[in-house]
Amino acid sequence: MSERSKMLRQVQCLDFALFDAALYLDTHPDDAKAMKYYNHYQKQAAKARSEFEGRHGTLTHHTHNSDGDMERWNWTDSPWPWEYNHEERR
Amino acid sequence: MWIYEKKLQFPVNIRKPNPTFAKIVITQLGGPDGELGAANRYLSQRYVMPDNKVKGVLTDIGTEELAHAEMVATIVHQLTRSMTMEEIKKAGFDAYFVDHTAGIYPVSAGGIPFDATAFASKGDPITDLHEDMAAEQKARTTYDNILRLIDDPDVREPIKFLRQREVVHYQRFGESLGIVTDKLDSKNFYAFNPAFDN
Repeated sequence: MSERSKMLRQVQCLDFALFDAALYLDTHPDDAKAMKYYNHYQKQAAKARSEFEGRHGTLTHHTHNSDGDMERWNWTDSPWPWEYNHEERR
Repeated sequence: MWIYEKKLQFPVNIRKPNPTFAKIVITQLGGPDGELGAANRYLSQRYVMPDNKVKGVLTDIGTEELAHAEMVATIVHQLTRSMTMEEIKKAGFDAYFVDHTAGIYPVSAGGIPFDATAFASKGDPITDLHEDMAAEQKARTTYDNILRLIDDPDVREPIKFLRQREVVHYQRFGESLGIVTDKLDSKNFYAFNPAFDN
C-alpha cells in the first residue's frame, strides 16, 4: 500500500469512529463517557487530516492548511475516490 | 448545505470486474430499499420532526446515506470497468448497456428505474420513524441477499460494512421513536399526527 493510501486509510478510520460516536451522541447527548471518546478521537482525526492534506492535497474546499496563501488550486490533482487504485489493496 | 469530502466512508478497490455482480449490487443504489431512497427519505422527513435530537439523527443518517450511495456507485463502476462486448452479452448486462453504457444510473436489480415513492415522507413523526426502522431492516435483508450471491471478497467487504450500518441506524431510529413517544400521551400514541393535530 502506498504512503498516500496508508495516510488516507488513517483519516477514514478516525473519521468513521467520530461519525459513529456522533450518531450515538445525537440520542445520548448527556453520556459523558461517549463525549470523552468523541473528544479523544476528534484530536487524532484533526491531526491525521492535517498531515494528509499537507502532503497529498485537500479533502474538502474548507481546508485549514492553506492559511489563505494557496499558490495553486490542487483540488483536481489527486485521484477521485471511486477510481480503482491497485496500490490501495490491504 | 453540504460539503464534499474527497474520500469514501469505507474503501472500495475491486480487482476483478464482473458485470453480473454489478447488476445485483446496483439495486442498493436505485432499488426500492437502496441508498438513494434512504438519503432522501431521511433528509425529507426532518422538517416536521418535533424533537431536536431526532432532527439531528435524520440529518446525520441522511448524510451518511449519501456517502453510501457513493460507495454503491463506486462498486458498480469498478465492476463494470474495461468490459468487452462479449463479457457484456454473456453477463446479461446488454439491457443496461444499451441505455447507459458503463455509466451510473439508478435502477433496481430488475432494471426498474428509481422511483421517488421510496422517499416515503408521510409528515407524521411516528409513522415516518416506523417507516425508517422497517427501511433499515429491508436494506439489511437486501445486503444479506447480496452476500449470498457474491463470493468476491473485494465486493463483500464494503457490502458487509454497509450491512452493519443498517443495524446501527435501526438502533438510532428505535431510540428516536422512543424520544418522540416519551413526549406524548402514553395511553394513546397512535391516535393522531403529533406534527399536525396539535
